Amino acid sequence: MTQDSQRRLVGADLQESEEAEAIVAAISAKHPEAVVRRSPGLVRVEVPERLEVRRDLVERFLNRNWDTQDFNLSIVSFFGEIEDWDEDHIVIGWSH
Amino acid sequence: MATSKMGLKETYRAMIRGLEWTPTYQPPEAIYPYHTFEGIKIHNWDDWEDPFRITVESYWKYQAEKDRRFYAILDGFIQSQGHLNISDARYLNALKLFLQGVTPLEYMAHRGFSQIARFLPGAAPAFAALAQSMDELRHAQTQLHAISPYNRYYSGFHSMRRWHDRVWYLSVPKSFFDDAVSSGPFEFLTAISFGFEYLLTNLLFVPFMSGASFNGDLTTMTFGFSAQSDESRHMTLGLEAVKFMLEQDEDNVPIVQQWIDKWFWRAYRVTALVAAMMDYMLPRRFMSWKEAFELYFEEQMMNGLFPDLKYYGINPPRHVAQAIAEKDYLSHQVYWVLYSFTYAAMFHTWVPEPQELDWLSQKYPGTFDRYFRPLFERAREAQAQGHRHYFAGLPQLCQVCQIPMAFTYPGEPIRHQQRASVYQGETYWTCSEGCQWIFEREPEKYIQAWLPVHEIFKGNCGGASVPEVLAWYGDQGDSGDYLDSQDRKHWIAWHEQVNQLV
Repeated sequence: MTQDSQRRLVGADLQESEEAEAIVAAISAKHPEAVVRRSPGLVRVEVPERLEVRRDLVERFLNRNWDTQDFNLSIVSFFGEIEDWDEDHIVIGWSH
Repeated sequence: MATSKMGLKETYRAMIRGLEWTPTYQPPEAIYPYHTFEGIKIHNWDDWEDPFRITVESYWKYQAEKDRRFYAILDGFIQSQGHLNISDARYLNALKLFLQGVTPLEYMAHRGFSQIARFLPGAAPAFAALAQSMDELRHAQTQLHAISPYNRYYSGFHSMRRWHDRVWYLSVPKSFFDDAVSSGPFEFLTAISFGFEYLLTNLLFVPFMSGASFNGDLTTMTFGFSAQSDESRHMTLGLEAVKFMLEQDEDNVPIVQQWIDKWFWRAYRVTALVAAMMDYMLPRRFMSWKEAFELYFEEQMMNGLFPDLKYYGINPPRHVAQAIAEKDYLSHQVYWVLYSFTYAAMFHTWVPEPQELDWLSQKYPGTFDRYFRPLFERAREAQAQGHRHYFAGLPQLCQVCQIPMAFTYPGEPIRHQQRASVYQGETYWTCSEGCQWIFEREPEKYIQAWLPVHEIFKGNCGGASVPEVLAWYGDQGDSGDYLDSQDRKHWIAWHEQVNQLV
């Protein structure tokens, strides 16, 4: 259970894969407070309040071009609300 | 920066928003007759946002890629004798429950969402529903393909459609979905897209997928991931649908609240089967039902989503405290029911091995040793003496969830609840405050329920004796205890063959 009820978590569950590891690394680079949890076949990343996946960071970790819509191939589940999704980033947060 | 290429948002606006037109041959209400009778007021359909910004072109591109990945792995699984690599044949009973209970729901979801796509007037929600309708058909197909290799070697996989319509425990998921598709379009969206997909789908798919991953079942794991990648889009549709209704008109708030109250409880009762599967049918366990419920429901929904919906005046589901109180004993109660009635189930059950009972004791320190371990230990002794415990007789089913009436008062693991409601001079029984509230809100709907036990006694299921009913089910040795099963014999035989080759 969340200890700190003032800071609501958002997060995403991804399939365990090379691409997902790069996405998780990009999220962790952007959010040093990110917590990564693993269960069989899955990698889950949780961030307080707002999670941003930035294309430039994913590309840095993948060492190749990455289309933000390719997130469709890795995502298993998420919690929060998708606030924005364009060429450069995906943002998951809570709006209220 | 000037660019000739349209970005994601512009492409979506150009490709989807432009799909609607104003009819001239017919009045709009003749073309869209169903979206007003539930009382939901919509003022501007263009306020609907699809954050995934999926268009026809991107939909085909990504779905084709998902299918290519899935079928490559399925071929590899068959070519490498993947059925020999699972942890134990007992594991397959989790898959049987899935194929018999969930796969037919995917097909019903396909039908339900094509109806929504046709009858919602806004282009954005109609296209999101159309995409989901195609997803659900893909899920039904990939699940059948993924699980079919096991049908060559094991029982319980050969007649899922017939069983879904006939066998008692399958009326639980079937009646749930029938309840949803026979509602209006906005209630259907709240029921399936929000109540099931957003609130509870993680409790269904993640345990099955991680369970498959941990138990060496490559093919199920792969379809699970492939389906679940669509599921994120479906969750988004559910959340958008609810927020859209709440933002369009304040009068929508009490209607949506009642639907959330109803459909949380309906969907939660269906996941009771998952609870039993998770704690008892996975030879290699990775997480208990209680832990999954705390992570995926309490943390994500109670601490995340519902504070967000508070802004609109929406409260957590009416009966949520009872669901939370049940997390300490739900899976044990339900598995004990399945164990007691396996003589008429199209899968096997068994008494957990001693180290598995220890795992349950450790995961459920407050309840398992006190209330449930003694039951299983007595059952093991009885079985050793040749008296495998079966419940003699057929159970009373809850009029709403259709699960045998084995549930107890919240927080009291062994004091049983039986709630009576009288409607038009007839008495109807429900298992809980949640199901009774749902019944009394719409009794004219639930008195029509096709309750398997009643139908057996009415003579509609092949006869009134167990062998006659089993013949009507089409049982080919699919039922009974695992220890006496063909599955166990086959598992031993296949592995002996392999050992001789090595």
